[in-house]
Amino acid sequence: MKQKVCPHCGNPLHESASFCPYCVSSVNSRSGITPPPRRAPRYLLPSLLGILALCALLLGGWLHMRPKTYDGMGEVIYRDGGATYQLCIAWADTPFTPFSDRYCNSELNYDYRYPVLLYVNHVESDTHAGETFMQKVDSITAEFSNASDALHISCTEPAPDASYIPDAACITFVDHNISEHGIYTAELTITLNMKNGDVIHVRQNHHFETIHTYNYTPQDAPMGNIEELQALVNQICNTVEEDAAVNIYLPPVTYQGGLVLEGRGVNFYGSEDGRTAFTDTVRVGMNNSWISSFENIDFFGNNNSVGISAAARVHLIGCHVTGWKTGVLGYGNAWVWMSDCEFTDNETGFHFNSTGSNVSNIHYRNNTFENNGTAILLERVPTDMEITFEGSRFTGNRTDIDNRCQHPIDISEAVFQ
Amino acid sequence: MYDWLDSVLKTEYTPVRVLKESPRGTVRLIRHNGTGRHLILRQFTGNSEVYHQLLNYTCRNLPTVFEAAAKDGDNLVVEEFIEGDTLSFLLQDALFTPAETREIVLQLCKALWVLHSMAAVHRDVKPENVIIRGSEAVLIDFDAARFHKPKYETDTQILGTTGYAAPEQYGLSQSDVRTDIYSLGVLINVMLTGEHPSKRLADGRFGRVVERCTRINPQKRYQNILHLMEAIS
Repeated sequence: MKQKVCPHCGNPLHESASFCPYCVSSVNSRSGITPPPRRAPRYLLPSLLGILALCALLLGGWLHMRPKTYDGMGEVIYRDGGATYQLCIAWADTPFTPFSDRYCNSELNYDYRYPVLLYVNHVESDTHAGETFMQKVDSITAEFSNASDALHISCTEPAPDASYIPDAACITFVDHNISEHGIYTAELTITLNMKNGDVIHVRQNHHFETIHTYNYTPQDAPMGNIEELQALVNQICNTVEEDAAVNIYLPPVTYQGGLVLEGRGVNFYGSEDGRTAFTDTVRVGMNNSWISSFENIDFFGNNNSVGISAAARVHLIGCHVTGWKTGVLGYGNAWVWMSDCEFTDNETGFHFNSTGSNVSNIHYRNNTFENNGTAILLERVPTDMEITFEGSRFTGNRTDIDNRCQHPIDISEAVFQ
Repeated sequence: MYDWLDSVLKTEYTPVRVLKESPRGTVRLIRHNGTGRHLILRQFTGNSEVYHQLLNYTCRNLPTVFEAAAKDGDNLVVEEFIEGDTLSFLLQDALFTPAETREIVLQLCKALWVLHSMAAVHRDVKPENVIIRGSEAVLIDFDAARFHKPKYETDTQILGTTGYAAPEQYGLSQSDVRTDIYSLGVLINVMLTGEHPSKRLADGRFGRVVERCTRINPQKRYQNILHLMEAIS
């Protein structure tokens, strides 16, 4: 070990020590730091804007003398045929705003897929010009570089997908899986080879950080009745760090009494040795955008209450929701999604009454709605993204879909009997 | 460095009590054998970047971080022990006047400004994490802090993520400085009314400040801590 000596007491210290643990004195130099007294006066703003405008003009002049190869992090401005195009990797809801860095938190050894959208926008008119622009493109590729061995990452060939995101010029799907805990970065490059010989590289850094996963089984913690389960959930909410995934594998028990989940997301898995059921309301309170999932669980009601009341995002997979006044209610800013579920004999099967901007999945696949008063009530639905019901079956309901907010829906692949 | 610090701490200090324990680690009060001085020792796994950054700075409204060492994901952090009462303890008996609230919140703003200027977000601003030391308010506990990644959006963009496993992990939203501003707004309201603003909003000017701090849409809150300081100055 390299050493230095404490200037206060003379004891040997590690070379990178910031303080002396022998005499409790700092041995590094520190800066005092305080906020500036006040913000810049507002009258400076026009000057700053003027400078910015000048910079923009200079940038425009520079761009006018374009090279044959274009390269940009998140965005490339490209001129051709008298038009100016913005090629940017952007989110679907902000397609004119380029993003050079993208961040994902990932569980270890899980497969993830997410889309990356390349937009081509006509600068002069502020409109999407992907379809026109792609006619000038000879070929387009995407690849990752600089990934470490523990980050397994790849992407699909970029292609337009009018049925998915119609305004995007092309979409590539990124698949990744991380095999060791850590923080990783890989660089995505989308390359457009233009028919006129120009080459355009649009790049984006993808950052990944692994999170811990905590699994609870009946062998790990008592969860044989609703009181024990509630105590476990409370303990998890109070002690497990926020950026961790929590899975609870439930026993084949019919829980009598309500369950409240507040402040974080937890995934509940029904037993594979028999059915796990709840007979009173499961209430999911607000949290910091976590999704709580319920998988292979029954919710049996007595026609006078709500089966699942969700103020935070909830996913239901393979669940049976039967005999409730309202089977599943999403409210506040919650997005509630379900697949492979059965809703039967409810006054209202699924009541969507949320606002906000979070969407986690628009594909309500393979659900069955049978003998409900109203199978689906869309009172308010976050965003204007179209939701789809492919493979879902509606039978014997008084009303199949009460779309009173007139939200865009696609029922072309649903079955109504 | 980690091994050296761990070794010296074991010989030169005596554990006094465990202050906090979680799956991520422990926070202990320790006493220097030679001087009797109390310090805080944090042992935890995960990201300790905030503590490493704070090694270079002093701010009266943040505890001094004396040392931070990491090894294979394990961290040791030695920091100043702040003697005083927590805001939550003081709130058990009485509320604060607008003048007292202003004085305390301005000091917390200074603490948050230091963190935000390092691109860090505290993420756990609450009365339990504020210690009143004489006339000073000190913001403690950076366990939940993380570095803000300015262009990380919430999950709107993963719409349509199909197939594969665990979509719930996409649900992690990225905190930014406006998360702390929201929390500070709630704290202001609790100091003045004892209640969450959703139940009872503070009167007058502070009420308007709280209302703006706690807007659901982060874009409609004060956009940085300096704006909030201006509003309450």
